[in-house]
Amino acid sequence: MKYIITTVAFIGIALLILLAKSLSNSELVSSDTFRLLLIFNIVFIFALIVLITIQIAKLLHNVKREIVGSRLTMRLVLSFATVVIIPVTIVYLVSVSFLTKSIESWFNVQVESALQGGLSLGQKTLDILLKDIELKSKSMAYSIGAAEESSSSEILNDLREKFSIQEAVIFDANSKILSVSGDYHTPLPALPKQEDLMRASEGFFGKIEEIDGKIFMKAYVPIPSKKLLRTDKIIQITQPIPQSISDIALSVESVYEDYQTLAYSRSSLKIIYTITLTLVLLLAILSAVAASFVISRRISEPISLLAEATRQIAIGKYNKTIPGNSKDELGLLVKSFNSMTMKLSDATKSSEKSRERLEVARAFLDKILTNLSSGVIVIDNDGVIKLHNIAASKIIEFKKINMTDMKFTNDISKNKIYQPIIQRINTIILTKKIVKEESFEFNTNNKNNEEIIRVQITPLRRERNISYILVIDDITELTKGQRNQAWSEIARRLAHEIKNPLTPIQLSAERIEHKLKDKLSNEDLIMLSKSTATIVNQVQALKTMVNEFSEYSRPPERKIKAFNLFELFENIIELYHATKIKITLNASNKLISIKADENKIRQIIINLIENAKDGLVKEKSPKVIIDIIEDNNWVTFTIKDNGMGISEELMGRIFEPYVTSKANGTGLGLAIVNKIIEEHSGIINIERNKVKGTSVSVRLPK
Amino acid sequence: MHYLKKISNKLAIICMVFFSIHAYSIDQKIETNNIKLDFEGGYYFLSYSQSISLLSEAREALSKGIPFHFQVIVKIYQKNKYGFSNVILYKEFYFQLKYKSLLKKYMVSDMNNQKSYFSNIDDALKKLSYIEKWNIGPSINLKEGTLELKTKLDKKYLPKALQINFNDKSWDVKSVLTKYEIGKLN
Repeated sequence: MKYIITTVAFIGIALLILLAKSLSNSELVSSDTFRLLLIFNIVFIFALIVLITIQIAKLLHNVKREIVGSRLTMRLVLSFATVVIIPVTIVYLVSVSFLTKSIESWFNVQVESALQGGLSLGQKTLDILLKDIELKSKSMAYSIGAAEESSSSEILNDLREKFSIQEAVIFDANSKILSVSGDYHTPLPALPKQEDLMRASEGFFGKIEEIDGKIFMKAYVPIPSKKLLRTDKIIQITQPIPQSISDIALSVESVYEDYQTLAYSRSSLKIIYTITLTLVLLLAILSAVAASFVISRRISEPISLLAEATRQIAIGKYNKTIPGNSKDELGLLVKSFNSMTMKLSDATKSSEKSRERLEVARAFLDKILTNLSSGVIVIDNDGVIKLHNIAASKIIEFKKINMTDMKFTNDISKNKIYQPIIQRINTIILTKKIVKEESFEFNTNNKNNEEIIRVQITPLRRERNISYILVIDDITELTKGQRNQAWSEIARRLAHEIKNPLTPIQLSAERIEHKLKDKLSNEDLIMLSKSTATIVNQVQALKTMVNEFSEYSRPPERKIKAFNLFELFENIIELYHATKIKITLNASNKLISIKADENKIRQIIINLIENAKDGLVKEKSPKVIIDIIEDNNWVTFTIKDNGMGISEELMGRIFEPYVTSKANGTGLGLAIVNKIIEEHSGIINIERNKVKGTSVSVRLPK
Repeated sequence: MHYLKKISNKLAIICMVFFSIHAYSIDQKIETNNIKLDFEGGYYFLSYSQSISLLSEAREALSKGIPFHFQVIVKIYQKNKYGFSNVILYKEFYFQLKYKSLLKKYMVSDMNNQKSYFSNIDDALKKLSYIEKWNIGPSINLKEGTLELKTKLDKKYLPKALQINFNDKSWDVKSVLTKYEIGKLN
């Protein structure tokens, strides 16, 4: 844009100079060229107006769109334009006024009177000289007329010399030269014009002519005839005006005519100069306004860029740099700004890297916390939860998955059994203001599902603030495991200690019976037999119990292989055909392959069916329904009975050893089942049916 | 686009004004007629009568001593079979009309630079009203051809200010370009 404006302005100014020059040099530039220049100038002025209008429209559009720097550009343009327009207009008005007055000052009454006077003087001088020639020519005509015709040539010559006439010629009525007298250097006389001779025939006729820059007087006088009544000869006298007078007179005439010409064309001169000056004004103003756009942009551009860059930085884009090579203050500012943005960018990158590292660390920590089986809760000094993991929300049973920024109160848990824990934690945190790590274990004492929760509270001091890290572990399973392990150890020792003397006891009792059966009376023999039978039975019972103990305490040994679970169920159910229990087996597929220890699984199934059978003793129409469901990589079988079920008190501890509802049960059956399932990475769940009976679900991986 | 439309409208108005001025300026001020072309001794001699009418502004300018140079352009050409003009003769001549302040007379200088003086402008113009046997130059005697004759006031001899003052019609003194068929004239 700036190149277009500059080019147009320069061409316009060049044309204007040519135009101004053409006014003073009429030889080089014709009027047509001048008009052409004038039209070109007008066209260029229009071109500038169009360009400026477009620029103004663009600028206003930018101002409307609130583009950064547009208002500053507009202000600068207005300032520059005002600075230029006012003085240029004043100069223009003064120039026009001065020019008009100057042109008028060329013409005044005194000069005109002087020139008029000079011209009149010249005219009078010529008139006097012509009068003198008239007298001389008349005198010559009378003298020639009075003389003899034969001597007219001599007389003419004498008279010419006498009157100092340059040339004298006698013509007849037909313009025929009769006699000539003249200076030696005088060329042949010019023939008179017919109308001059005609006028001369009526009397004296004189005229003044300019020939080749010299003024000549010509006088025609008829020569009176002695014989004829009418004249038939005319004398023509030619006399130049003296050179000195002629030069002055012609000079005065020339100046007078120039003056008159100028005076006549002054109004045109004024118009032309005014037009030229107006064009100068318009071109100057328009060029200045156009230049003001370029200059304003050049000034405001770095400022606009700075403003835009500042805005970018404000929204967090620190890598913004501004192009600029100027060595002025703005250039220095741009360099400083670029340096600042570079430093900011570096700092931001460094901060970003730190943040990323922090994010990674946080993500890592989150991952750890998420995958941690222990619940972790961070509480600040005001008892507000700042952080917690999923395990915490599961253990405490939060109302929402995310309880961050919530107060650590009883309300956060949807299960009332955890309220005492929360209260206890709050008591420790808010009242005791602990300074060292503290921990406690809490038993929910829930009849259905006993839970043992361990809480560890660690204070974390940061400057004046103190936060608390709570590590909450559900150690129910751990405790159960420990308990089971203890029971296993007891069982193993009991089995070892009890099993050894049982065989000698049984053999001793049988030996006593054998030795004494012949020696005792019938009554005593009956008593002995009964006692021996009792001893043998009890020893057998003890052996069974010890075997169960052995089973419970044995180390895990599995023989994993694939087998058809459905077929296994069918085989087991076959054993119960003779009983009055109606066993129904439901499965979507008769080929349910599972990888497990088949014997152990058989043991589980038999144990569970046996349990169901024991509960169905008093039932008139005993039923056992077995459902097998395949679910991706899992197989779930449910054994449901309509028996007497399990009491609510026992439900929470049903898998513990020696917990049983049966009068003769050892309480090890379900404990062993649970142990086998755990060894197979499965899950067992026992529920009381809504109406009657028990449902036991076993979920095993395929 | 809106601005461009406005500007183009303005330009159109300016052009219309300019051309209307130009159209007005071609009003005929010199009437040429009674053309006669003679061929004698290898030369063409042109005779014609003309009436030069000057407006009061021009007469006033003349009386102030501003000389009027009238340019006469004579062209004789033949059309060839392709329709192009084959110029046989081209001549430009000037005659001058001027008021001599010192002599208080109007001076007419004809094509042969013969000067005549007249007390008033009408007599001077009368002198220019008939051009008789003006030798326009050597040529071949054409049986067919066209003669073009145009007379105009040559403004380049006017003062610069009057030349440039293009809005003044007083200085557009000229005849129309008149064509004469040579065969018909002879």
